Amino acid sequence: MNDIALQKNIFSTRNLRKFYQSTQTFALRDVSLDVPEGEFLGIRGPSGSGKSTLLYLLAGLLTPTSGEIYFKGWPLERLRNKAVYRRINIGFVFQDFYLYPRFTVLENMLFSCLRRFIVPAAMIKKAEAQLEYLHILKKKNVPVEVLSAGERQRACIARALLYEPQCILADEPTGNLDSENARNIMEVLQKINKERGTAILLVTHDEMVSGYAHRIVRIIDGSLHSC
Amino acid sequence: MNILHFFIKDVFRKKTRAFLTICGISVGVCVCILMLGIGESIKNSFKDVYGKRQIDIVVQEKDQLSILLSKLDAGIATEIKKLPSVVDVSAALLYIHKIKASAVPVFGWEPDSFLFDDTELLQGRRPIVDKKEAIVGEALGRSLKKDNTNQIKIKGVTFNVVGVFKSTSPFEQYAAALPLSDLQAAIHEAGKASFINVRLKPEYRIETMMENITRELEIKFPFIAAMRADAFIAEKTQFIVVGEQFSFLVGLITIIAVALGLANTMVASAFEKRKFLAILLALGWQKIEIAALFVFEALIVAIIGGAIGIFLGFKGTGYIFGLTSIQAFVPALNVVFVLKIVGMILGSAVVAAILPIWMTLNSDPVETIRSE
Repeated sequence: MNDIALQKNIFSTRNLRKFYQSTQTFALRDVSLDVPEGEFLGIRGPSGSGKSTLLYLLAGLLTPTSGEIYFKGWPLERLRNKAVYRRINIGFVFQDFYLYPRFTVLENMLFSCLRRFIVPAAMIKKAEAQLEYLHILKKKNVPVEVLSAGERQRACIARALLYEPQCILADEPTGNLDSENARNIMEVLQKINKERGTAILLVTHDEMVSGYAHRIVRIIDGSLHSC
Repeated sequence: MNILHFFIKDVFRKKTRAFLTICGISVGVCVCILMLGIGESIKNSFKDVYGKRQIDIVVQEKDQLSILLSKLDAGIATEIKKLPSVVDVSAALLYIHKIKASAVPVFGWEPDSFLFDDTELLQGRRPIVDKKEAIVGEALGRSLKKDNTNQIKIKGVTFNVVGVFKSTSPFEQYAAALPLSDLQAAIHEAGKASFINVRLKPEYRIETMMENITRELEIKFPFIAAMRADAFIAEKTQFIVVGEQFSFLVGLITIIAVALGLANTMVASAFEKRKFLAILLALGWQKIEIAALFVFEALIVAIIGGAIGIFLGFKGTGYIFGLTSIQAFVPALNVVFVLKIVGMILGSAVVAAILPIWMTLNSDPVETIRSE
């Protein structure tokens, strides 16, 4: 595939391999995948099949054993500052929320702005706008432990949206939710994808969740299979 | 909304832990100040006696270790004053008198000496020769007032207190001063002085010139030892310097204990926050920012604990001195001294943050996120 074709994709991987020394296992084997901009991609597969590893590799949190990863045609390995790359381009949503207890929803969102002594007012406004978009603005000053599971996941999504990333990497975002809340969260992600054109790569093994994605791929024992 | 808000809220999220850590730091810093402050106060008081009076040379009896044992002919002062380099001299007799359990330095000064001239009287007037009068330092004045007396009795001779003077030297705060001849008569040391203070003309206040003058004096008066005032202070405070080094060592060990205690808290905090920190990395924080986060957290705890410790330390030193016979040694809030302590506290905070930083930066964020 040429460079122009790569640039049309938010992510492309070529013969991606990840070998974990600690467990002496291949988490991914020769994974080649193209994710066009604005796509909602579902990644399914059994536990331990390598789904989350793929997300962490795309985010630059893990280094591949071999193969290439491209972000909008740009090789990830050439990025000097992967932290900045993540901050600007990627939003993360996790199964376990990972919100910091005792802090409010708004404070949790603004943790990423702590590198400045004073959080800029513009960032606070931005954060509030995301909370409003996700219908939890009323809860902005509520400590996160008081929120329901669904509200917590919305807070996580709001946190992921703060820098208006081009892509959201969601690792089992409905894993800790009941079916109604899971549906709500999927609708929220679908809305973000449709209205903002944000690409979503969603790792799951929930059949229902797959229904919201444009395309589903399966990872079994580290190998990619199209559905 | 600012970074301090976040950090303070984070530190006090675990109230008991934060409270105990701050207590530990406060006690450590307090001990450090007590140990260092005592030596510092005594040394400064020596310096004040000579430095602030612009005394350039001190003359005492040759081969005499202590000025308390030094005995000179007070008449030498007149001879020294005749030297072209000398602007003023003042013979002084020092006697340590006991009032209750306290040692009170009693100075005999020549009535027209610059020592009297430079003494700031808060109340009353100068003592008059042959009238059995004395002036006392502020602290001694307070002590006498408490005992409802206005007299001091030296070797059976009663002196009426006619004035109270202020001195920056704690030595003199708890001292008495009277005319030289009156003290000589009271302690049966007629014509004697313990030491002679010499002031030089400004153009002679050069190290090499002062050295030459001291040599000249020792040749002219073979039974005296003449020293530059700064060398004299250094020699007389040598025992304090040794004590100070010991205090510094104890202080250093205390600060290391403080740093270790703080490091323990920081490691616990890092362990507790490990997932959160991994998430921060996933959200685009850089490792250097995570390191700064720990340093900042340690600094907040150290600064709060340190501030309480500094307050308690100064109050405590004053209280301890108050309990002893050297009541006058109330440590002054010396800027350099406080800066030294603040530096130690901040340094210990940075040291305390190293281990959690190392732990966090060496852990794999993905493994941390995935771990149960």
